Amino acid sequence: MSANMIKRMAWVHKWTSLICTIFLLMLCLTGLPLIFHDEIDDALNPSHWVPAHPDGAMLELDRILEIALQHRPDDVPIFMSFDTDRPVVNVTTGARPDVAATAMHFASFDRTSGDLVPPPDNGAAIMDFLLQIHTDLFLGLPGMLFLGAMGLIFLAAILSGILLYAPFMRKLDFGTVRASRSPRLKWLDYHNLLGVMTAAWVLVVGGTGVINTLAIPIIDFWKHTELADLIEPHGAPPSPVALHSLDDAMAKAKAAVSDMVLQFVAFPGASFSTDHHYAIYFHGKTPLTRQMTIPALIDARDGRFAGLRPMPWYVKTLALSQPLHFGDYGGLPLKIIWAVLDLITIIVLGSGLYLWLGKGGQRMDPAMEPLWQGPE
Amino acid sequence: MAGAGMKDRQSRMSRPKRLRKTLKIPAIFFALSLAGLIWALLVDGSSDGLAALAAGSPLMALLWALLYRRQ
Repeated sequence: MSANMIKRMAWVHKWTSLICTIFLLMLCLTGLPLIFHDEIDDALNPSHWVPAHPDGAMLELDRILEIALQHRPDDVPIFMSFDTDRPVVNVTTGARPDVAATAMHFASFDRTSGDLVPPPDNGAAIMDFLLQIHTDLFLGLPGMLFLGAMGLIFLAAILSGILLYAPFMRKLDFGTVRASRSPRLKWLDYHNLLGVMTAAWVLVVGGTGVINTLAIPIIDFWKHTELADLIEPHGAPPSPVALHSLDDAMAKAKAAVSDMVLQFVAFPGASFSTDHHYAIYFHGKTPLTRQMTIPALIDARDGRFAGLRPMPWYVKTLALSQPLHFGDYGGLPLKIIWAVLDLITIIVLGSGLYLWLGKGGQRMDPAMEPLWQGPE
Repeated sequence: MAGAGMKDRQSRMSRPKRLRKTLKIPAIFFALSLAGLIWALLVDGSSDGLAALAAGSPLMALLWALLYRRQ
């Protein structure tokens, strides 16, 4: 790399880093507890719950829905999901199907009795707060897109940092930290070492984070392209009280998919459905296909099977981006590694800031000069 | 003295050779870590532990460097 190129890269690295550092620090700090949200939820909410009739028959989904709406008479159903380890159905409702996530109401029901299952809400407010600030800074879509832009700038900072690694480190053996020299030189070595060794993880988490910020436009695009034939005007959307039987819709959907696992139902008007259909989502059974959902669409007015809609590549990319960003796909060991790498990233960001702040007007340490001289 | 000798050896290296030497170890751990992150997505059960180990392999190299490479 020529001296000019190195200078240009250093400029890019400095300014891209400075622009995004404060937001990246916030994302790293809020992301840390989110890595362990399952473990934190379990610890704060030890479950002693048992179903009313452990060996009893399951209530029909239509009955559960009816009970859920009796509890929320002014709401419409938005989503229904199913616990995998206990007979519990979760029903999300809201004043309208398209209300913001924060305005939705979530309740869980014992499928053997229809009784409400106590919510595990100890600590939920804090985790919700952290998730919201991590996702969109409480600004909705503009906040998500803003964080996506910060993520792109961060990726530029990482790539320029990788390119600068060789000019900085070419005279040193791998891993050398000149701790006995000036504090700036010591922290430059830490910054370079920690940065380059965490680069793969940071690129994956940063890149998938950027993709996740596009979730709303991606889903909207999917609805208006792949589901275009279904969202064309079909007359007035069905009234929530005149919905076709959910159990019948579920039976038709299950008959259409083979060897897949039921994941959730999006009701008409919800973000993952159309105004007229139940979208019943299934996923595969292998670790990879578990991320790949496929919706069966059933007309909510007459129960007609409208088709299976395999997800296009961009929705699959979004689906794969979520576990790769949150690190919740490889058990506790991977989560611990995620947390350590997150902490190291905080150190890299902090040391970068320190190197910039400490520079102001001072003459550069001679040991840092080879960078500016370019390759010998 | 040893440091000066190392500097002499490095300054005698050709540019591509020196670049290779500088980037070899980070590139190996970059690939190993990336493979571990993707592998964990493809496997289940006990293999998850191995994938996590690969994904976290740079941490071991970091620990080694911080213990033995501080001058």
